Amino acid sequence: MEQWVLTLMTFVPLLGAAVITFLPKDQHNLIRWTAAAFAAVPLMLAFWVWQTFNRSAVGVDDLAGFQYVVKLPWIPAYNIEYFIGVDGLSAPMVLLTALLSFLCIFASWGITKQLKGYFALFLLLETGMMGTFVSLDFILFYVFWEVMLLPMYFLIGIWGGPRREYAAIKFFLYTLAGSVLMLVGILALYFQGGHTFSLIELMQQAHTFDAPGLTIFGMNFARVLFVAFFIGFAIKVPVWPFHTWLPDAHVEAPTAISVILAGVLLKMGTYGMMRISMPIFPGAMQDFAFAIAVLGVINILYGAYCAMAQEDLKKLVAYSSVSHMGYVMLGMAALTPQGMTGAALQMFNHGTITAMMFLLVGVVYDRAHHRQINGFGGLGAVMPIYTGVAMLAFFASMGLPGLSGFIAEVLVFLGAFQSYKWLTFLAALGIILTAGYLLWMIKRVFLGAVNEKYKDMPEINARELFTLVPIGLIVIYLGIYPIPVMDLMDGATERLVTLVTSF
Amino acid sequence: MELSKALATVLQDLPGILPELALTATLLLVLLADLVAGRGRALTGDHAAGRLPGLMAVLGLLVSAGLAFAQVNDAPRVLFLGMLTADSLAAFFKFIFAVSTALIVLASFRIRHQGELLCLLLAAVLGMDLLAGARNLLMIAVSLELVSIMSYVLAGFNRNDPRAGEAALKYMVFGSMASGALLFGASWLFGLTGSLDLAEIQHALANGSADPLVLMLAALLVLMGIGYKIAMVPVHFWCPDVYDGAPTPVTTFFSVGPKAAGIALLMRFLYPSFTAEGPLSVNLAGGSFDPALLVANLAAFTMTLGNLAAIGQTRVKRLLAYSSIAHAGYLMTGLVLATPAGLSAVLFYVVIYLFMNYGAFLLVDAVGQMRGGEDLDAFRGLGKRHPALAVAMTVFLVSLVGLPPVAGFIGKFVLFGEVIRERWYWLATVAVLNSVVSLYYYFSVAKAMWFDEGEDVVEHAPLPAMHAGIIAGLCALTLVLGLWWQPLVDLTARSIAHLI
Repeated sequence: MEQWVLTLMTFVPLLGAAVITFLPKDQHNLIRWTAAAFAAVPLMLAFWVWQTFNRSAVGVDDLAGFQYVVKLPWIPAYNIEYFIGVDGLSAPMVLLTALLSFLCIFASWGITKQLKGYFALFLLLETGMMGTFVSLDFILFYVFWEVMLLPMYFLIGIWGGPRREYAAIKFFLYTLAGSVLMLVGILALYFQGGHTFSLIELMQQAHTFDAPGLTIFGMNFARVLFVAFFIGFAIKVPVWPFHTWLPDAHVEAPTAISVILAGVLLKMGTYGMMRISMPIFPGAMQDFAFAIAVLGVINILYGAYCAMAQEDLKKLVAYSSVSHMGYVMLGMAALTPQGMTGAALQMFNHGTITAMMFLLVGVVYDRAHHRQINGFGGLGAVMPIYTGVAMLAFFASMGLPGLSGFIAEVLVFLGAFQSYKWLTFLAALGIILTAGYLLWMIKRVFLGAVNEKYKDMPEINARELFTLVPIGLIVIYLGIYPIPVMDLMDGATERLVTLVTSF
Repeated sequence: MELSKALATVLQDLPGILPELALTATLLLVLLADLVAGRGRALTGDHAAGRLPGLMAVLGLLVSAGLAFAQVNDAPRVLFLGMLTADSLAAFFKFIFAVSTALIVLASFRIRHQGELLCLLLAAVLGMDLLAGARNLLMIAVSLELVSIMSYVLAGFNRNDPRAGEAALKYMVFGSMASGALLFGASWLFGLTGSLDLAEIQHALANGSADPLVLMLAALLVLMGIGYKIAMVPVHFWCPDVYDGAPTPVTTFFSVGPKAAGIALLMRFLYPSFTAEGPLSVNLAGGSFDPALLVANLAAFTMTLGNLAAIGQTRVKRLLAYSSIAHAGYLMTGLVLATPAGLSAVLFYVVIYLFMNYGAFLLVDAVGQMRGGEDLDAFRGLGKRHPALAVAMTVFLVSLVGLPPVAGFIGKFVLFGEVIRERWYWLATVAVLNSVVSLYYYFSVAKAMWFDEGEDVVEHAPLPAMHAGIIAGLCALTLVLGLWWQPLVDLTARSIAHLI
């Protein structure tokens, strides 16, 4: 009975979306609360999974280490299965997805245009995200991966800002371009790997794919496919130079969608690298690790410099995401246990911290209807509670010790330094740049003379606090004691490193 | 003596063409019924009588479809002294033709002079049926002409619309050139081999020593002649104009029926002789002509050009016309492969293409009926005013792009999967990148429906229930097939099983 928990988590939101389409159009609160109820179920189940998760099981390439596994035939002709389960890599992501989705329902309370459509699409999006993280069959994974695109396109395109149409189609085209390459890769693996889509079985054939005689376009099979998958995932992360869709999408998306985009969707890129690229192509990963580390450092520095130049608060936060995802790449590419755990932890922590930042931007935007950094000033005096919460988020993003961002970054640097000394040194400069752009922004927005225009800006309200406080508590708690999340992933990250380095 | 023997053979082979016979009978009955119904309508003013020919046509087409379906499992036979074959492949296509045309008849009741339209449609389907089974160059030429001439008239069916006149003329001029090319190429093949029978030609080519250059020219001419029917680049120019000028139900018919007939014919031609592992290539090993590579390049050009040209179209029918060119390119990728699984994948895609493309075109027709226009402007604000229709259109568009979890994805998955199985990696990569390009223009329709307000769009008439029902059915099939497609795989695999 227990093993159906993941299925429930994935499909209860879909059921919710169906229910919402049948609700009367003008009952706004009914629609909102229904959405909240259907998003609460996965959250409770995710919490239960987190509680009952067997920390000593490893997973990655070992089916026995996966928990709550369901494996049913779906399309026998192609050996496609309904095959789901969680291990240390996916469990934290599942938790993050459930948490942010639930809170984002409340962050969307202010939406008044076509409510039914909004919440139905939002819940459909949650199904796609959950499904992606729990899938262990490649086609199932791909289907969920793509299912996310459509609601995202409409959520940005209908409820977004002034340039929403451009941003929506740009997001869609970029992501689709990456994922179709992945599809070719999936099919090539299927026919080469004895007609299976099971990720676990494909991982066990890593040596077959790396055989010297096996080529595509005259190049090594595993290397070519690694690059194809990497492009697919890199667009999602987004890795420089595939990042240009991200600022556009973020600026135009409504607040809650930005939160989901930065908090969950970006993680799918790095999750895909860990779940798919590394264990299936360990040889190629060894060869390309340095290049990935370099790209990671470029992300860190380039993202930080871009953030510094922004006038728009939301764009600043968007570029800070580009920068912070660089740490994940660097930690991953180090191929050391600390680096890998740091990367996995950074994925979780960045998800929470950046969610807070986007929610905070949403709070002032709802009041001032603009996000110009220079258009505010002295908000600290006008909205003290808001400013307090904001400081927590921004300092966590800076990597202040005692807050969750710190632990992950330290682990990444510890791990990366063993492999790439100079790159790590450069990456550490990113910390200074981060402090630079955040503190400069804080000075312009929260400190200084009160802007007369906003001297009566209402303080943050209870609903907004309700979306921020739980994440804030997690940020503080994990900053002091990160073990509850780290022990989920420890076994899996170590196994992943061994898989690659011992190949 | 000779005569009676021949007569006996003919009589004995008649059961092999039962679907065609059913069509012929229907055609004659519809002609009669139209006369009677027309007279009846004039006398009594009874509108229901006007539907009689249409209902009879649907019934006849369904009978033909049933008879074809019954033949799928039959052992393959050669009929009429080598003119036709009755095998599972032909049966599969006959079934598709009849069912797809029945849907068109159901969607075309509002068209004036429906009786005439029906006769033209039925004759075209008869030609397509014969094409699906043809194995003799003469038979191919004759049945192709039957389809073509009916198509010219159908394209110009809106007599009073200047666009229809232009479409019909363009179609005919291009069509005649294509027929000429086909006949010329066929005459070269006859000259090279001394036979009109496809099997004998293939046998002779495999064992003879034809000059590769001459053979390539002959193959190119024949390919252009057939390719014109499926709107293959570079013989696609007629397609957007014809699709735009013809009444939308007829366009819908053009976009699937004759195209599938062309695909069937290409299969007969290319498989197995002209493909990579066929006897021909073995014979020409080290030579300069690789037919598979030629088809692969044509496929790549067709899909790329179709998709690129579709960008920026504002008339949805033209947009879908270019999209159908692109889809011809996708279908051709399966013809490159010399495997039964490859052909089976093409059939699989044809069925899915039928559902989604019919859905999209009939929805354009629906919007045309309701809002009096068929360009992007007419779609503005559809999402707010008619959410169900807009959702259905979105499903078809998503399917045409090839995104999961709807049928279009599965079609591409199966088809490109076979392409990758045979290691045509570059072709598969070109194909999937093309579907990214296609996203842009398909979603210009989605954008108009969902993002634009369209408060000013005037609505003339409600949607007929029949039309809505067909669209709903196609939408449901597109959705269900995306999640459960095992039965269709089985059907197409069976259709390839008994191939001559």
